[in-house]
Amino acid sequence: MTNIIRIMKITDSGIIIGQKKYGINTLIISIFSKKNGIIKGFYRVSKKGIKPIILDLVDFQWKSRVEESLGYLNFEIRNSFPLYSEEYFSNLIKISASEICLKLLPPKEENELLYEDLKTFIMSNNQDLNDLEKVKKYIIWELRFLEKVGYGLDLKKCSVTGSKKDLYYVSPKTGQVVTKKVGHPWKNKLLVLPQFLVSNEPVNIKDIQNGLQLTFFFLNKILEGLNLKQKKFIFREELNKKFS
Amino acid sequence: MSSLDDLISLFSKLPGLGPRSARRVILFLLKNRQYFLKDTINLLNKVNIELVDCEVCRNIDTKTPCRICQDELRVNERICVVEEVSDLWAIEKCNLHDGKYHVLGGVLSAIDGVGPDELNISNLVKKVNMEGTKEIILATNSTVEGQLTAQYIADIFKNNDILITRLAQGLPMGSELDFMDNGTLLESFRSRKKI
Repeated sequence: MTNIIRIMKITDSGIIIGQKKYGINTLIISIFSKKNGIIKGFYRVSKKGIKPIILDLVDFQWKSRVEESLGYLNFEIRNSFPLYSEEYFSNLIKISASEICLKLLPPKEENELLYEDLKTFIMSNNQDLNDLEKVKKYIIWELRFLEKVGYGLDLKKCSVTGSKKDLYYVSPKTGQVVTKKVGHPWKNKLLVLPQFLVSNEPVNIKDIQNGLQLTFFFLNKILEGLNLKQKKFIFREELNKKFS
Repeated sequence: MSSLDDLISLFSKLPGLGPRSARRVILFLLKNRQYFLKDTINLLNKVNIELVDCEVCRNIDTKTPCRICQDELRVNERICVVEEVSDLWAIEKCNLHDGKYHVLGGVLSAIDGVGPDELNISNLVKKVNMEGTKEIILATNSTVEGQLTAQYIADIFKNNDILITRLAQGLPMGSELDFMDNGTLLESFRSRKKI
């Protein structure tokens, strides 16, 4: 009787969202792939080989004898992340988006919409936008992320009165919005809704602070529920500090 | 044999060694007890007693402040910021920098959970403010984390009257264009200079 060893193989495209040194010339790379979700694997770095960096767009092949093990990666870089062409702030929000995917998405679970959304976000050129507009765009990306992982916020109408006007507070428990008048007695327990989400008013610093607090609360809620060693966001917290 | 197993297990945790190579190293030491094992034990002991982290720059030396920090011939106003002590040693080996150093002890990293508070950044701020630094050379690695850490430090000092530079990016010596990735080529074109 012969034993047939089946090798698991995944061929896909994706975005590198994390890498960790393992030994002298091996990296453990995390890729957010289009059809297979988060894939992790070893990658041996050779002198003449490709040295990938976070946020590179790659075509890759993952191989392993056992599906549950890390396996090995091989890839070609399709688009390098323009690391030096953008300033600190643009890089910070893009790496923060990748950190959220790295920490909150489960392994090998397809989420093509989210993948496309992240891809569009990190490839977007923000050079014409000011810092506030950049963060506004980022907060909207986070809200879409929350929606796609099951934490969608219902911001269309007041959950108590049904009014679509004067929406001001968000419940941290239900993610539903209420008007200023309804929420006022519990204002210390509620999150404030950034007005750029419900009106066309130009974005201001207070709104950005509220927006960052709002999404950060729900992102942290997901993180706390996961069995991870590091229960904090590094780059997202930096973003909070910048606007505190 | 348990002490031998313990030693193999310990050695296999060293960078670049696995259980098999750890076993080979230990067998070599045991075969050459007279020359290698005793010397290794003595030297490790000495290193453990003598070497300390420099309280100023976090270099490793036999005294603190380290020899580089105490060297009066070095330019005080120029600080080269590196990720690890090994980077400092690499630059020192080539005699490339005549100023002082500052070792961060890592880079900002989401996957490792390293934030600014875990890095040696507050000491850098103190040092720069105290010593009247005129230039900070950011010699972090050419990775997203390395670059972001450099940009984070540059952001801290953006309102100070300090020249902040980073190392050049582009083609490595002896490389062939055909083997280069898009990012390296892009950066090489962007930082091209007149000859």
